[in-house]
Amino acid sequence: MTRAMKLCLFGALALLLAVPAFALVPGDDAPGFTLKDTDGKEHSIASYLAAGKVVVLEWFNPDCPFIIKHHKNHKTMNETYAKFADRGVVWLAINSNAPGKQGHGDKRNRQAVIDYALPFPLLLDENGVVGQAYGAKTTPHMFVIGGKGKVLYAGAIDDDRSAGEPGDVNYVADALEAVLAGKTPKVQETDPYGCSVKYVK
Amino acid sequence: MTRTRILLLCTTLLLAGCARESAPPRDVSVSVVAAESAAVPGGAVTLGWRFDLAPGWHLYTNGRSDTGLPPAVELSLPEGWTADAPLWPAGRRLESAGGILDHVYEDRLLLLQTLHAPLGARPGETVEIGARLEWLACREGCVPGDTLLTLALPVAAAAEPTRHAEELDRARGELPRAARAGELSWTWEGNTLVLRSPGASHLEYHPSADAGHLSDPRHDAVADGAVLNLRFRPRDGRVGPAHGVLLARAGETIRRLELTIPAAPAATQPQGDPR
Repeated sequence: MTRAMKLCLFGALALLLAVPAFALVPGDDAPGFTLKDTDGKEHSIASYLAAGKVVVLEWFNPDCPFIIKHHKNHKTMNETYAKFADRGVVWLAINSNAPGKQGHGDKRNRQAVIDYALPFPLLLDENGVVGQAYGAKTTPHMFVIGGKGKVLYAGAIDDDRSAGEPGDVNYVADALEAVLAGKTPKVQETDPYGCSVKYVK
Repeated sequence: MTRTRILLLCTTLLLAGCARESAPPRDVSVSVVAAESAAVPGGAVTLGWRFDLAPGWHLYTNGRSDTGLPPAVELSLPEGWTADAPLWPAGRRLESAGGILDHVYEDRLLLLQTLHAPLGARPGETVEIGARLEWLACREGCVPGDTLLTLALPVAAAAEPTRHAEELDRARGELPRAARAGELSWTWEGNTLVLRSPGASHLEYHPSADAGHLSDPRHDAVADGAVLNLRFRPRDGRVGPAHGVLLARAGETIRRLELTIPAAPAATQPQGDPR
């Protein structure tokens, strides 16, 4: 069995066993998933992990004030990604909002890719299965996944929980620096902040 | 009709302002009332910051929620004047799909804040109290809002209760308070804090932002009866603390008790996550 197959298998098992009430915490196995982006291209986290990538997941809603803060008023996400794009880091934004909810839909999200000049894929998870498997609660809610399929960081992007200014400490950037240096992130878990993910009821 | 209505409800307290508004949403109306007609030198004035919400909208408490952001009041005071921190009432639990748990206010939030006049304040003068209010109102989506208010407050040798004094007194009476003798006891049993409030038929724990994390906040923080078992998830080497508010219902009565229970003693701190 190849490494990719093993990761897919463990991912599928993890999805089945996922308890939606809880956000994953560092040390948990990251549930596997395959989702299409706004261009219809499929992305498999298992494939990225099998290729030795470190994966960052960002829960996303183009119309949430906290996403607007980090994607429009400030370029926190794009700039953080740019620091690590050529160092083996894959960044996937995921929109788990249900049909009819704020920020949902192919058209709205294709436009968001343009408006926010997203340099990474935006995946659509309108039934919320992936979001609930990870226990994603806010937009943004950040996860850093290591090569062994473990959650290495979970929580907020930074330490300013307002909808205005970005923080002084970028937890995801710090976690990535540590992981890429073969170390454990100093801060592995924080409380995420933002709008709620608008799941199917 | 303006998008934010600033209601000037105090007859003797002069509000100069309505001042500038920046991007106020339609979902929240903000106003201020006072319990006293004037500030007395060396005395206190109770202000009430009112957030009136359109149906379906909510604001967040200053306690722990999975999402959102509590309102903020930032005062700009004349020299020598001081203010206590705003006093936050208990909110209500709001569960959403995906295991999301928030603590929110619906219909109205009335934040009380006590203003202290300096001894040197001169009767006959009027001082300007500036306030910047910020909030995040949510329904399906969320809308941030903010407003600047300027309060022109007379100083007088004596003050009378305004017609809002009763409402503000009632709000003060509903604030979380320290438990009285016999109202609350607790023990740690490993990761679990066992709370007992004799006579209660329903208990509900609303954690503060600095409280420890529960293993299952949706289920563990509520119980029918007089005993509530709070299972904490160890984090950063700590179990607890249990800070926040305990709502204890007994018949038609609701006791809102402040909780300031420290983290579990080191000897009882267990290892691992009980999930």
